[in-house]
Amino acid sequence: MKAAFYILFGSLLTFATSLSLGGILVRALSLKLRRTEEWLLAFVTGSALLSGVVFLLCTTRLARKGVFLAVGLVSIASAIRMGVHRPQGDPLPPIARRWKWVIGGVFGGFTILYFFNAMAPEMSPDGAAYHLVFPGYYYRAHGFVRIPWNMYANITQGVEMLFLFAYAFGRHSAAALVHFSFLATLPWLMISYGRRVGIASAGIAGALFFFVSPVIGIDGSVAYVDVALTSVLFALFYFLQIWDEQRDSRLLIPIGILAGFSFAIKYTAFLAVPYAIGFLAWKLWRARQPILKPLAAVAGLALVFILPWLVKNWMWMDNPVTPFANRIFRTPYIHISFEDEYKKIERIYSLTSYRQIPWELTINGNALGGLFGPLFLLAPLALLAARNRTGRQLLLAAAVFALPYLTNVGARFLIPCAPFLTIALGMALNWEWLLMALVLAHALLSWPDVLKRYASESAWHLTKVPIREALRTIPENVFLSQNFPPYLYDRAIDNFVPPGAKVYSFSQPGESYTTRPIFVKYLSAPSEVLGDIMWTAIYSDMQPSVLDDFHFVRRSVKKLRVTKTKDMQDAMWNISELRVYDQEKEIPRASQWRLKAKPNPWDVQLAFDNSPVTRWRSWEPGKPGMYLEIDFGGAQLVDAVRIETQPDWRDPDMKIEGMDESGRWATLTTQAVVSLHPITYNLRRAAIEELKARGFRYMLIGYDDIGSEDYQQHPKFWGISLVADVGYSRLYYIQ
Amino acid sequence: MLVSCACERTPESYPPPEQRHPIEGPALNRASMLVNMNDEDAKEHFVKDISDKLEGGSWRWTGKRPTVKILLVKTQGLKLTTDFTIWEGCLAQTGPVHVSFFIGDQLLGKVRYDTPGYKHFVVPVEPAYLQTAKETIVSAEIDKVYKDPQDGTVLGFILSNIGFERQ
Repeated sequence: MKAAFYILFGSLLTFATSLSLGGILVRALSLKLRRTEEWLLAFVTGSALLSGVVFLLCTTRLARKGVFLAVGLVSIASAIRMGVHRPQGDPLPPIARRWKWVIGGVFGGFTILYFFNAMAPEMSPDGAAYHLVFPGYYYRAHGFVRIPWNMYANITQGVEMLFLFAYAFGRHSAAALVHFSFLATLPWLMISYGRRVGIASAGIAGALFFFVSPVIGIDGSVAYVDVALTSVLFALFYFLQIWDEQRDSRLLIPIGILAGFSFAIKYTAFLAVPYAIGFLAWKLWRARQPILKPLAAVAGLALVFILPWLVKNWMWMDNPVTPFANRIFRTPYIHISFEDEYKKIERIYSLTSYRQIPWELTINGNALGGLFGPLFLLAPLALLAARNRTGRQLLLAAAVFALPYLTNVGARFLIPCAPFLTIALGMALNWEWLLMALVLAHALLSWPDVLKRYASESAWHLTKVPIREALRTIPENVFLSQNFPPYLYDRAIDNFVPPGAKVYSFSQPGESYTTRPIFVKYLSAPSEVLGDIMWTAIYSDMQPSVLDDFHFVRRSVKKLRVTKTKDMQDAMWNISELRVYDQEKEIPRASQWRLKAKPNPWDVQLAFDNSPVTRWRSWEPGKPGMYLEIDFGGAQLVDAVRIETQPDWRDPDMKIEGMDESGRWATLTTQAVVSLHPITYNLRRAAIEELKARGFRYMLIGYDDIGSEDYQQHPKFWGISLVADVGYSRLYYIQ
Repeated sequence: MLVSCACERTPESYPPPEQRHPIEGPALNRASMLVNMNDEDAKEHFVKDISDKLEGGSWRWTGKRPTVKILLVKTQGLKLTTDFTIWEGCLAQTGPVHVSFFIGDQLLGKVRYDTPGYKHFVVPVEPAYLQTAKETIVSAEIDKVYKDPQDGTVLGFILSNIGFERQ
C-alpha cells in the first residue's frame, strides 16, 4: 500500500500543480470563463506551464524530487492564496437529469476501469520503449541526458516532462495516472463546450462516444501521450471559440501557449500553430481588425514552447526535427534509409489494402493497434453537422487534426481529431433518445468482456479492472514478472550487466525497468551499422565476395575518387574495401591519407579498415555523383583500384577519377573486371570484435531475431557465452 | 532558424583507421532449426539412419527411422517440416508406405504414400513437446524399407531436410 500511496501522490501532485499554475494564469489574466470550464481549461493550460518549468529544471540539472515538491507546493499555495479554488464566472446551463444518469453510469463505470488500469503496473509497449525510459534517465541524472543512440530520445517530450514530475515520486504508474488525468478531464471539457454553445446533448453524447472508445481508453490509461495531446488541442479549440465570442486579446496568451505545447508534445501536432493563426487571421480579417499584433503574440508564445525542443535537438543532434528531415539535416545519428523505411511502414502497417482501414478501426483492431468501436461506422454522418456554424467549426478542427493520419495509419493517430468528430456526430444525430441509446450501445460494445467477443484477440485494448494489481496487493515485481517479458529482460540486465555497461539488441525490448542503456539496431545509425556487421558474418550475400578491379595507365595523382555513375533506384551503394595498387602491389594506407565520402562521410573509414565484415554504405539510394575519395597528401603513382563489395544490391556502374598535380580531375577508367571470390572462412569472430571495439560486452537476442539460432548454436564461434535466458530473449556476454 | 540549422556541418575528411586483422575460423553455415542435408554441419545433427554420403549435392539416403537432434531457440510458434522423396524403385518393391513423424516418442502425424516422388510434410508443434535447454530429437519412420536383392542394403527414402520453422 505504501507504493500505491506514492503513485497516487506523484500523480495528484502533478495534477494539482498543473491546475494551480493554470488557475493562477487564468486569474492573473482575469479571463472571463464560465464555472466548471475554468478549472478544466486551467488544468490543461497549467500542464503546459508545468511542462515548461520541468524543461527548465532539466536544463539546469535541478530535476530533483525536492525541487519538484517545492514547485508543486508553492504553486498550490499561490493558487489558494489567489482563490483559484473558488470558482468564478456564471455557471453553464444545467445538464438534464436523464443525461446525468447516463453520464454517471457510463463515465463512472469506465473511469473505474481506466483508473485501475492506469494505476496498475505499467507495461505499455511505447511506455516501456521510450515514454518512460527517458524520464528515468533524466530523473537519475537530474536533468537532460544526451542519448544519440535512441531516436525516440530526441523527439519532443512535452508530456514526458509531466511524467518526470510524477515519476520522481511514484515511478511508472504515477506517470500513467498523469495521462489518465487528461483522459478524465477531456470529456468534461467537451461537455462544457457543448453546454456553452447550446448543444448540450451533442456535447455529452460526443464526450461519452469519445471516452469509452477502446483505443482511447487504453491509450489514456497508460504512459502514452495521445490523449494528453488531444486534450490540449481541444482546449486550444475551446479558447479560440471563446475568443471568437469575446474578442478579448488576453485569451491570446493561453491560445499561444497551447498551440506551442501541442508541438512540444508531438511533432505531428505542429498543425495546431497554423490552425490557431489561420483561425485568428481569418476572423480578424473578416472583422477588419488589426491582424499582425495578435498573430505575432500567439506565434511568439507558441515559439516559447517550441523553440527549446528545436534548439536542444539542434545542439545535440545537429537536426532540430530529428529523426526526420535527414536529407536536409545530414547527421551521423539517423540514416536516410531508416527514415524512408520508417515512414513507409507507418503509412501501411500490416494492411494489404487501405480499404481494410474502416474495418480495422471500428471492429477488428488488430492491424492498426486498436479500435474505436462499431459506432464509428456512423462517423461519415458527422458531416451533417456542417449545416450550422458550430458544426463547421468542429468539422474543420477534425479535418485539420486528422491530417497526420496520412503519414501514420495507426488508430492512435486519429485520437486528436476524435473529440471534434464525436461532438459533430452528436449534432448530426440530434435526437436525444437516439443519442442516449447510441451512448449505451457504444459503452456496452466497448466494455472489455463484450469487446473480446467481436474484436481481434490481438487488438490493443483493456481486458479487466485490475484492482489488486493497482493497489499492489499483488506485488508489482510479481505481476510484471508473470505478465510482461520486457520486465524480465530488464531485471536480467540489471542483475548481470555492470553499471555503465552497454547492451546491444536487434529488437526493442522495452527498457523502462533497467538503468543500463540498450542500443537497438534500428534506433540510430551507428547501431544500424553494427547490425549490418553482425549480419554480414552469417549471410553470404552480404559478404564481400565480389571484386571489381579497375586497371588504367599508370599515373601520378594527388587524389583519387570512385564515383557512382548511375542511379541505383532504391538500392544502396556499398563498398567493403577500397584498395589502391601500383604495379600489382597494394599501396599501404598511410597516416597522411585523408578519406572522404559523399554521402555518409562518417563511415568512410569502414571501406579502408581491412575488415571483411564492415562496409561503407550510402544508407540511401545510390545516385550518380556519390563518391569515395582518397587524398594521398602528395603525388602518388597508381595504376589500379580494387573494390571489394557484396553481391546483394550490387551495381558495378562506377568510374575512377584522379586529380593530377595541377588540381585537375580526369577520368582514369570506367571499366571493371569483375570476379567472384566467395568467403570461405568464418567471420563471426571478426564481427564480434567490431562490437567489442565499440564498447559492447553484452547482447540481448530475441528468440525471433534474425540469427538468433546462430548465437545459440554456435556461441564458441562467436566468442560469446549465455548469461540469462528469460522471457523471449537471451542475454549473452561477449568474451 | 530551421534553414540555418541545415548549414553543412559534415566533417572534412578522416585518416585511414587502424587496420583490422580479423580472426578467421572454419567455414560454418548459418545455424537454423532446419537441418538441410547439404549443410556444412549437417552430420553434427545426425543421430541415426542417415547416410554419411551426400548425393547430388542436396540429399541423402535414409534407413528406417532417420533421426536428427536440433537445439531449438524457442518452443512456441514452431512447425515441424520436412522435404523428402519416395523412390520409385522402393515403392515398386514395398507397395504403399506409411511415414510417421515424431518428436522424441511423440507421434505428430502418419501419412500414407501411394505414389513416388517429392513429398512435403508440415505440422504445427505443441510447445510442450519441445525444449530449449537441450536438443530436441526429431525423426521420420517409414514402415517398410527397400532391401537390395543383391547386397541387402536397406533404403528408406531420400531426405532433403528435416527440422523446424517458425509458423
